[in-house]
Amino acid sequence: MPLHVKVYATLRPVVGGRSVELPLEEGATVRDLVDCMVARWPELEVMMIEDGEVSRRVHVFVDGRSARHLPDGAETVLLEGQEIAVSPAVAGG
Amino acid sequence: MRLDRFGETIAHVDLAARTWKMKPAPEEWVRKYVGARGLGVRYVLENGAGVDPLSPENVLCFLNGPLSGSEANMSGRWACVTKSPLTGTVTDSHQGGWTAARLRWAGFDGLIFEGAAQTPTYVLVQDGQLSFHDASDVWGLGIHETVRILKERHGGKDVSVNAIGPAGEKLSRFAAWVNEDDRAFGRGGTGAVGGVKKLKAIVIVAGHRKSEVSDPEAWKQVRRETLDMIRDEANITSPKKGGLSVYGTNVITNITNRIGALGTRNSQSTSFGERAEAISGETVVETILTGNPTCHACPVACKKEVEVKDGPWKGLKMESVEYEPAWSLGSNCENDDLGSIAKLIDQCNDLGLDPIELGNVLSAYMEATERGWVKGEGLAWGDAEGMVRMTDALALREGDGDLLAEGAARAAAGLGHPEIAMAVKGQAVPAYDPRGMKGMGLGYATSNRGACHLRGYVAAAELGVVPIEADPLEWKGKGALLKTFQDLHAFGDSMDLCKFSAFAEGADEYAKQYAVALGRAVSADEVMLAGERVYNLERYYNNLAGFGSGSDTLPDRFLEEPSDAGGSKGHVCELGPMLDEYYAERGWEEGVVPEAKLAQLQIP
Repeated sequence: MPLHVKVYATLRPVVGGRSVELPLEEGATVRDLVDCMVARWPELEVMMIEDGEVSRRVHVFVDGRSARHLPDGAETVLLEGQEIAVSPAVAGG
Repeated sequence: MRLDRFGETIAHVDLAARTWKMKPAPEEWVRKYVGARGLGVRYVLENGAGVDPLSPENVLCFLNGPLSGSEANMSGRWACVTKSPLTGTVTDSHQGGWTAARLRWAGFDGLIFEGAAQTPTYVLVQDGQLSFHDASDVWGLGIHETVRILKERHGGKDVSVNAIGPAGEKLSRFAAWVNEDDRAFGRGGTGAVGGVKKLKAIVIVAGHRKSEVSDPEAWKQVRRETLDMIRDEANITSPKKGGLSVYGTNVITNITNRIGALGTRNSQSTSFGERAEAISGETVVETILTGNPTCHACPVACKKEVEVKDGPWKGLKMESVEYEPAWSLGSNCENDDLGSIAKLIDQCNDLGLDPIELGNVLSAYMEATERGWVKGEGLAWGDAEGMVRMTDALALREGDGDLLAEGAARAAAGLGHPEIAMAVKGQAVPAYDPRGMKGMGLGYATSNRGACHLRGYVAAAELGVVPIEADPLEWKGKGALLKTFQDLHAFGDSMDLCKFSAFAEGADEYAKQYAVALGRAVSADEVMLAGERVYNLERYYNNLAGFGSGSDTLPDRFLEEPSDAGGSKGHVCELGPMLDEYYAERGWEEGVVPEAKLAQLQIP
């Protein structure tokens, strides 16, 4: 299933836009999404992968909830119709 | 410039008599309350908690911290501390830029203004001396013009001007001091205290001076260590790489919008939907950015200088479109016109207003208009040109602007509907909806200066940028988490280091810098204890000023009306159990500091 993913902040200059279409299969997880992005844009690895796991420097938001705070974490299965967004972890004032 | 002599050069200025005297701060106060925020609160306490904030008897303190103006990273800060005309609490606010450094270089650690001048006055600070000058020719002028005239008059080079605008002169309760055109002492209405005192400006002239410390090699080493942490690509402070550096504070608009924490239409909604993109930091950088200015000793450069490219304010150059005003004057007012937000922020900088309170008072007025509670035309959601007109009227107290100049809480009460003011202790809320970021809700409720995001920036944990990570929708554990942030920031604000240093540094680094600069060894635990002491001192002052049980609360909207959008959909803010946790952590009794706690912390 092609997945429409919004991207924010310092990810944008790397992917070259405000959103991307990712060719993920049915049953794909948050981890699969991250791997797919890193495969397509290898320079994202330093930001998105840490010690072989999804880095805490990045959030994958599934319907507005960071996957980190969902019960299945990086193994959360992505479903058609969900709003998906990826962002580096950032804060402001 | 010996850093270990911090506190010895505090000027006490009697505006009525036009005299001043240099008096060192009591050594015990400097040891216990550090400087800037903490020391200022101690001076304000000494002046009495019962003082009318809009009387000449209120004291207006401008204080550096022990690191202000030094080579320490992110140390270009100073504090303004007074009793707030907006809240009746003690309030402190901090400016960046170069003014703090110039004050130190001019030979002063602080300026404490007492009484009121007979006629408009400004003071000039230079070479260890202070002089009084007639401000009649700049009274009534905007801050931009005042800065231009006074800088030119006093040499143009190495000059900082910190001024109030028409809003302060007209005693708006959320008037701000603004230095160097665009760095404000926002929140709390410090500018109105200047207006009462007929103090238009503080002009500081000073060239760079190098710090002297007893161990220069250790000083160099600790600065190198902290600089490495700030530069680390894993941190959002990393120059030109981290999100804060590249996009400024407004980097989070799209995220808070997504998670359901970006209040919209006076917090009737928790998301601005797809329209948030138009006011985000990414859009600022992609469309109107012209420069990345910075403050003294800061490699981060989070400020964003812009030029409006089209629309009624085409050609306007200003800084900086921050997250807070992008929210308060943007989604909060259902306004997605970025050019008008830049214009409104620039108005705040020129008229001397706090943009957070401005956005909230306008959004309350818009809601009142929608509900038919305003006599006359009122103001429609998203009417950007109307917002600009009303802001001018507010600063000059014309028409309904006279009521709105009192701030959101008093204005809503004046309209007969206090429930539409999103305020705590009389001060309006910042840009994190407590239904989507519950720790921030607890922070608003327990802030010692009224609703505030900066007393304890739990958002750093709720957005996952510091090692202590927290689910924004979980309320459990937020009491202890908030106390940690509040105490750390109370110390940082007293040093006075930029709040954003805490994205890269912690209590260990604060302790090392303090120890080397002042030649007094302290541990990270002692840093946290000093922060706790400052926080309790503020609370003690507020207790004396009449704030007690029931004062730490939130508007009903956040407690009873569930979030309607984003990741927080369906949630309210569970303040009650969080408060129980928090008071237990603090050792307070229903928001009051007990005698035993005061004694334990050696307060006052």
